[in-house]
Amino acid sequence: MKRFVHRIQARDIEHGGSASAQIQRELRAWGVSAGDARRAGIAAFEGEMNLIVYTDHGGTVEVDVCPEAIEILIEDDGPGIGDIDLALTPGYSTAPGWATDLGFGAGMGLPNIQRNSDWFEIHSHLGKGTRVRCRIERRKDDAPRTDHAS
Amino acid sequence: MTLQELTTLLEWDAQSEGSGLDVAVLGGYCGDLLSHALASAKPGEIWVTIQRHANVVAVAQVAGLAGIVLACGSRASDNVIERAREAGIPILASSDSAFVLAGRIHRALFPEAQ
Repeated sequence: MKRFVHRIQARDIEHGGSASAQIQRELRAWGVSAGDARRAGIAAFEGEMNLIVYTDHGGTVEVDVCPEAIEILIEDDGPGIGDIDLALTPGYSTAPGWATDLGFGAGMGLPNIQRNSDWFEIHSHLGKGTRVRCRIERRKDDAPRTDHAS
Repeated sequence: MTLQELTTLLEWDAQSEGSGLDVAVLGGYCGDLLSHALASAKPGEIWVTIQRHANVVAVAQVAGLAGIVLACGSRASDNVIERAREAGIPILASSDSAFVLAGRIHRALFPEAQ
């Protein structure tokens, strides 16, 4: 198994997505197929942006490459989510104005992680933080066309 | 049709010149919400948006898009272009609106559907 850990700073919008792009490159370098790396890259991107936009102190994106799956853990220490069901509802967002001006806050972040994963769980406590885990089974498929990440 | 052919045909300004224009474009996506682009744009599609900040480069990269077309005269800054070059994501610019761009791209890519 191979593990990558990326530390993400809160409000570091300038570098938003850099860690996810690097994760995707690392996955490809470790022999992960284009299609699997795409799903993992999208899940990582949404997790990374959630850490930047919503958290008090940022957090980490941890990726494990296993023979049969890619596992991603996104973790922060607050502020936590009050109503997880609402947060998982497509279209619901609490993004601040500076983020929506940039095209974030569509209310699709957590749903995008879910839809690109074969298994997903989220635990959150107000004042303590949020922990999102997802697992992407390796289908070893190629993304249909362009693969800039390779 | 390649992105180079589309760029020439529709008279786009290639802001990140020389970067990946030989790629085939098989479709398009139009919209300014990043997560919607991640959810709906398919690999190899061209993305029409007015968002011109660095995060769109990352979105195009992880989604495996063919490139980004900035609509309505929107232009990327030098540091965004540099990031796009590093990522191998072409950034094109047009004075056309997103609506007009979508129509012109669709007509070029799918003439049989007209």
